[in-house]
Amino acid sequence: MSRYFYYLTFINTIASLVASMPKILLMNREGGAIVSILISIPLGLVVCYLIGRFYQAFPGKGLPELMDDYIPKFFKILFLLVIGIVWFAAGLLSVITYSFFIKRFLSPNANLIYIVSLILLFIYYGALMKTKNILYVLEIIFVLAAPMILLLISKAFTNNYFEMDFVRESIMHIQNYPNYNAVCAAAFIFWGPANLLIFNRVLKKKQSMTWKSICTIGLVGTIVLLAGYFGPIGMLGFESIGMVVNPGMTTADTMVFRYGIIERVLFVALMFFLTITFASILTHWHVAVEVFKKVVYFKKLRWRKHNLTPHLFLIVFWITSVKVVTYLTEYQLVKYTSYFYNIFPFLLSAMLLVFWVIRRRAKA
Amino acid sequence: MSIWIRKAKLVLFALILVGSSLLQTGCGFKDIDKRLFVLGIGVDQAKSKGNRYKVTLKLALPSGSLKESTGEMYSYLTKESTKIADAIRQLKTQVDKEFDFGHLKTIVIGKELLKSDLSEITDIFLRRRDFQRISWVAIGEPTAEKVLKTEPKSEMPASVALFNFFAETGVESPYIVNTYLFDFRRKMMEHGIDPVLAIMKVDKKRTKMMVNHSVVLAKDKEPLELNPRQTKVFNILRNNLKKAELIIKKEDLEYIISIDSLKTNYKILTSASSGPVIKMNVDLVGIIEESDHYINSKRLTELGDYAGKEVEKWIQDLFLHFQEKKVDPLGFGLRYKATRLHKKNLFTEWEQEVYPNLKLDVTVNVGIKSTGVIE
Repeated sequence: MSRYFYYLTFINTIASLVASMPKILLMNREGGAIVSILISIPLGLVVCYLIGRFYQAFPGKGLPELMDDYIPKFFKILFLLVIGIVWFAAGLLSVITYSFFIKRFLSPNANLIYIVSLILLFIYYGALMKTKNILYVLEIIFVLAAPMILLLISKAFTNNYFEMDFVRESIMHIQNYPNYNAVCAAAFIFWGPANLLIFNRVLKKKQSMTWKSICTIGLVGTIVLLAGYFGPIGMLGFESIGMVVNPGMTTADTMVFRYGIIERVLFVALMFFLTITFASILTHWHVAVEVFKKVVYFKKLRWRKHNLTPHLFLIVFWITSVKVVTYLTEYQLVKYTSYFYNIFPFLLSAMLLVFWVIRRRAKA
Repeated sequence: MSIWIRKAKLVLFALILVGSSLLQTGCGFKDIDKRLFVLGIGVDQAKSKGNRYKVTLKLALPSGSLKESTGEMYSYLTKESTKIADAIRQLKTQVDKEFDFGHLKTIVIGKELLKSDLSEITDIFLRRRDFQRISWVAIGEPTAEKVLKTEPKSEMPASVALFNFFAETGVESPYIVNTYLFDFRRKMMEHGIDPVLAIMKVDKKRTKMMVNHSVVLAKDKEPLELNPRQTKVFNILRNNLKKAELIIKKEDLEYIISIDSLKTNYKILTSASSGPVIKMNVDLVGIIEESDHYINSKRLTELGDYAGKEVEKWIQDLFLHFQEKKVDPLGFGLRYKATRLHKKNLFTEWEQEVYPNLKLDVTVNVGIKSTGVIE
C-alpha cells in the first residue's frame, strides 16, 4: 500500500491511546478486557483488510463518487449524512478530550471556550485544505511525533518501577467473557482506513493490500493496545487504576527523564500527543466536510469565485463544539465516547454492505 | 491590480499574526518574579483543638545569582487547619506572591500521623494536577516541620538536601528507601503489597539529617519500623538497588564486600505435601572493599559462600519478622495473586491460610570477583 495509507491508519491508532480507549478497557479490567483485546485484533484487522481491498479496486475514486454511479440517490444521501455526522462526532470527541487535557495540565486558568476556539482556528484552515495537502500534513506530523511516542511507550515498559506482577495479576482475570464496549473500543484503533472514503480520491496509483501490510498494522495496533492497557496497570497498580480519570496521561506523569531537559514526562507526552490528536481531528473533519458537501451544496452561496458552503459547515462545527464542551463533564465524555465506539461496528457493516453492492454492480 | 491584492493580503496576514499574539495574554500566566517556588511540604498532627493538620511549606527565596547568595535561602510558612488545601489557601494570604508547586519534589509526613489514614493525607497531592506524581514521600521524625526546617551544611542553593536524598542523582545508599508518590499510592490501594517509607531523622540541633530507618505501613495494622540492617536487606530484596555493601564477620576476620550487581527472584510453590514455600534466589556480585587481614585470592569462593550463608540468615530473620507482624512489603501476596487464576476468595485464602504457614527457602550466591587492588 501507499505510505499515506499507513499514516491514516497509524494516526488513528495512536490518537486512540490518549482518547477514552484505555479508560474503557480498564473499566472492564475485572470483566474480560483481555479477551476483548484478543477478539478485537483479528476483528479489526479483517475489517481493515476488507476496506483496503475494496478501495484498491477503484484507484483515485472516493466512496461518494462510487455511490453516484451504483447506488440509488435517496439511499446515497441518507448514508452519506450518517457518515458525515459520525465523522464529525469522532473529531468532536477528540477536540473535547484534548481541550480537557490542556485545561487540566497545561493552562488551568484558561477559559475552555478559548482553548477550543484556538484549536479550531487551526483546524478550520486545515480542514479546508486540499485532500492531498492533508496527507502531507499527516506525513510530517507522523514522522516527527511517532518516534517520540515509541520512546515513551518503551520507557513505560522498561523503567524500574514497572511492576510486572500487576500485569500478571490482570492477566489472571482472563477467564471472564468479553465485553462489547471493550471490543469496540479496542477494535476502533484498526479502523483508520475507513477515512479512505475521501482520501482514496488522491491515491491514484494502483494499490495492493498484502499480508505484509496487514501484519504491519496488526503489529503496531497490538503494541498500542498493550501499551494502552498494560502500561497504566503496570505503573499505577491493578486495583487503584479504576480511580484514575485519564489513565494515559497519569501514567506519563509517573515517568522521569532524569537528565532530560524537561524532567516531568507528562509535559513531553502532552505535546506529542497533541500533534497526533490534531492530525486525527484534521482527517476526521476533512472527511466530514467533504461528505457533507455531497449531501448539501448551495450553488448560489458564492463570494468572488469561492463557494462558501464548506465554511458554513465548519462554522456549524465550531459552534457545536463550543456548545458541547461547556455542557459535557469528564464522566459524560467517556460515556459518549463509548457510545460512539459502540455504534461504529454497525456503521462499518453498512459500509461493507455498500462495498459489496458496488463491487457486484461494477463487475456486471 | 493583482499586485495590490497580493500586497493587501500580505498586510492582512501580518495583521492576523500580530493580532493573535495579543490573544496570548490569557492562560493566567504569571511572571517568575511573581511566583514563590515551594520545595517541600510537611504535614503534621495539629496541636490546636478542632484542627487536624499542620502544614509547613518550604519556600525557595530568589537570589540574584548563586555565587552572591550569602543570606537566607529558604523561608518557611506554617498553618493549621482541618484540611491541607484549606491550610494552603490560608497561607496564601500571608505572602504577596503565587505559590508554585511545580518544583515540589518531597512530601514529608510527620511521625505522629502514621496511625491515621495516609490515603486521606495524600489525596490532595494526587488529585491536584500541579503536584508531581514523581515527588518523593517520606516520614519526618520527630516532626515533618523540623525536617523541612533543617538546613544541612552541605546544602547549596538549587541543590536541596530533601531531593538529593532520594533522587539517586546525589547520594546513593542501600539504607535509603525511595518511594515515589504514585508508587506509594498503588501499594496503599493494592491488596497483597504494602508501602514502605523512609524515615528522615533530625538531631536536636537541627544541623543534620539522617535517612536510614524505614517504616512499613500495612493496611489496618500498626506501622512497623525497620532498623538500618533490615532496611538494607529489604532494599536488596526489592530489586531496586545498584550498589550495596555487606559487612561479614568470620571468626577473627572481618571483611566488607562491595556489591555492584544485585538480582533477586522468587517463586511461590504451593503443593499439598510440603505446604507453601517461597523459593528465593539472590545473586550478589562484588569485590572486597576492606579487610583486616591479608586475603589470599584462593579463598574468595570460600569467603563468598560464607557471606552467602550470613545474608541468608538476615533474609530469613526479616521474612519471619514480616510474617509475624502480618505485613507484606515485598509483595508476596501480589505475586500469589499474579500467578493464580482469579477467583473470588483467592486473597482471603492467601491471608488466612497461605501466608501464615509460608516457609522461605532462600539461596544467596555471593560472587567475589576480586580482592581489590591489593590482596
